[in-house]
Amino acid sequence: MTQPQKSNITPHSHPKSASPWRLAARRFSRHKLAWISLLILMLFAIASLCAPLVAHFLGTDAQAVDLFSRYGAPGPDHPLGTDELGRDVLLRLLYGGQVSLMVGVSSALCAAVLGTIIGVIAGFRGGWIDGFLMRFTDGVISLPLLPLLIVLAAIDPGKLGIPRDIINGESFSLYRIILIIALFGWTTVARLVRAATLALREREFVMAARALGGGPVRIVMRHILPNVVTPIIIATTLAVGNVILMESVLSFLGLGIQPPVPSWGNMLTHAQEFIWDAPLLALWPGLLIFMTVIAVNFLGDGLQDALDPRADTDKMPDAGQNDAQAAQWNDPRETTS
Amino acid sequence: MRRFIFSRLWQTALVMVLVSFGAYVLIGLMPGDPIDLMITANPSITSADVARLKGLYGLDQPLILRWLHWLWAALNGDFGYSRLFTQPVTTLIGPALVNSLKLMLASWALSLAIALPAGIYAALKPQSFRDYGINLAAFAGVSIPPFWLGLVAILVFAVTLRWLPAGGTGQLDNASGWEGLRYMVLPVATLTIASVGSHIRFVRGSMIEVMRQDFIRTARAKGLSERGVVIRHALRNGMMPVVTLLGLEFGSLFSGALITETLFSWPGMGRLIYNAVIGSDYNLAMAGLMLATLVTLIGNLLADIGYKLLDPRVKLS
Repeated sequence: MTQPQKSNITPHSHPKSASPWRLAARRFSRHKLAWISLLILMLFAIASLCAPLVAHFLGTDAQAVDLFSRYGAPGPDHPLGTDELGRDVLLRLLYGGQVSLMVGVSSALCAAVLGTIIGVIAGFRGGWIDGFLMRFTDGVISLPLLPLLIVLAAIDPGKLGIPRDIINGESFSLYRIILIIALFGWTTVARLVRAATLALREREFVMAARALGGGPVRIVMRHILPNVVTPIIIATTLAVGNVILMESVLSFLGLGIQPPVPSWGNMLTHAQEFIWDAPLLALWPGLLIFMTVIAVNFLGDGLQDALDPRADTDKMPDAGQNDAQAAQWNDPRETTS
Repeated sequence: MRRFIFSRLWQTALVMVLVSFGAYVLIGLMPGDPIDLMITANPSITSADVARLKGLYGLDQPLILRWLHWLWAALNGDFGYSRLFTQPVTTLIGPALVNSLKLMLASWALSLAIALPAGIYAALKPQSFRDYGINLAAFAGVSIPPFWLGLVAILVFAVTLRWLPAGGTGQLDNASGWEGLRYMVLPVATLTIASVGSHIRFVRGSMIEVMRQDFIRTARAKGLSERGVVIRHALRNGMMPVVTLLGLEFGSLFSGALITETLFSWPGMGRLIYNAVIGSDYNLAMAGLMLATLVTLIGNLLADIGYKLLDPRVKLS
């Protein structure tokens, strides 16, 4: 519907024209840092998925405590040594990677879904609904994020009527942190989607669809959403980095992922106490968080250059076209200091 | 303008009331209320005592009444007693505010002193080698986990090199004057590195945007030197979004840096809020949260007003 002329053009009649996605892929392939970042992220993901395999080869598991070999030096049994309870550091880093990456991706996705729904409703319906939703968004944005996250993470879910056996389950803290971060993370996507929807609503192809009798649900699904997917992808990718940082901060404070499940954040919880005995223990998890987050940010930057159609307008040959919008994608609030 | 400010003040008050209710409910959901803690501390307490205490603290009343009661007292300047510090909450907040302000102002000034020249310098030649380098550094700054940065700083400068103290303010060691400043070095450096990246990206983005405008082309066309174009025309316009950024961050000057203050045992607002939440100190946590919210909202308002004052094209709604 968006490109009705496409169906009667055979690929041979225009040998030089390429689909928008192929153009985007070409632009992305020029972005070396983004490629390296993608490779690093895939490496991290594969490595952490292989954690059980590594555990099998080492003949131990991530939660096996051995108080006789605390702060062990790296060796054949423990490639990166052991931690304050004699657990294998490499294995804990790998399992922690599973947790951190999982939380990062799923929380960003939840936030994106929430933000898209709110943004589309606000932009498409307009009127007082738009006014109310955007006031609400402004309100959420203007809240002090970290103190509220900490209060939310500290509440006792038992008092909300959630049964104890669910709360004490191992993965409960995982779902909980995904939910908490998503609750505050949807605002960027909501604003972007609303702005794009407002612009799209008045475009001819949407009016045509409406004139043909398309209902609001159909118009949103077929005409609005496919056209706002680009800003959603970019904002969500960049959000993954922020979520991983937030998860690590909350876990570091003891409010996120609960031990014995390892996460890169909670491996650093007691780092300040054992920093005298085993400084390297404090180094590894932080380095991995840093590398992951910077890789995600480079990837988001590359995607932004590749996907944003304004990037290849010949109006402005110098790249950096989209850099002015960096502020739009990146939340300027310092959330984690 | 006046109408705008008045309507925004009303909105701010409304948000404050809503947030106070939300925070009150959430804090009530934290594990262990004060009576629970007294029961654990004193095994000989009887259930009659518990009921009496609940009546005394008003815990037997419905939530909404308790909140209204809190709100009324707070509006009269009474935030109650801190359970952790056994002092009125208002006397605790004063010194914490001053400490946070010291830390945050220093790192704010330092961060801007680095970010303004670096961001402008990078923006003048986009995609050049220097832009690439500065951008890379900015990305690194944005991506580094601040608590880990603080840990590494402690590890290197306090544990290994023993140049600087690992935490505290030095008041216990009677360190004063220059000696006291040494305690600020690591937290300020950590905060600066954590914020300079986003500052650089913001300044750079806004300058690149301005350098693309028609009036810059006009200024060049009329024969102005590049230096003149940048200083007379680009800087003024490029700095307007930066004013917004400063407004948005204004709140953090008072609400402090929760992670960094906790890590370096710096007795500011962030650490106070953290300790209050962790130690279920209801009154202190409420007061801290409300203060943090209020200063953030005021900062947002200041950002909008400043933007309007600097740029007459902006219409306030």
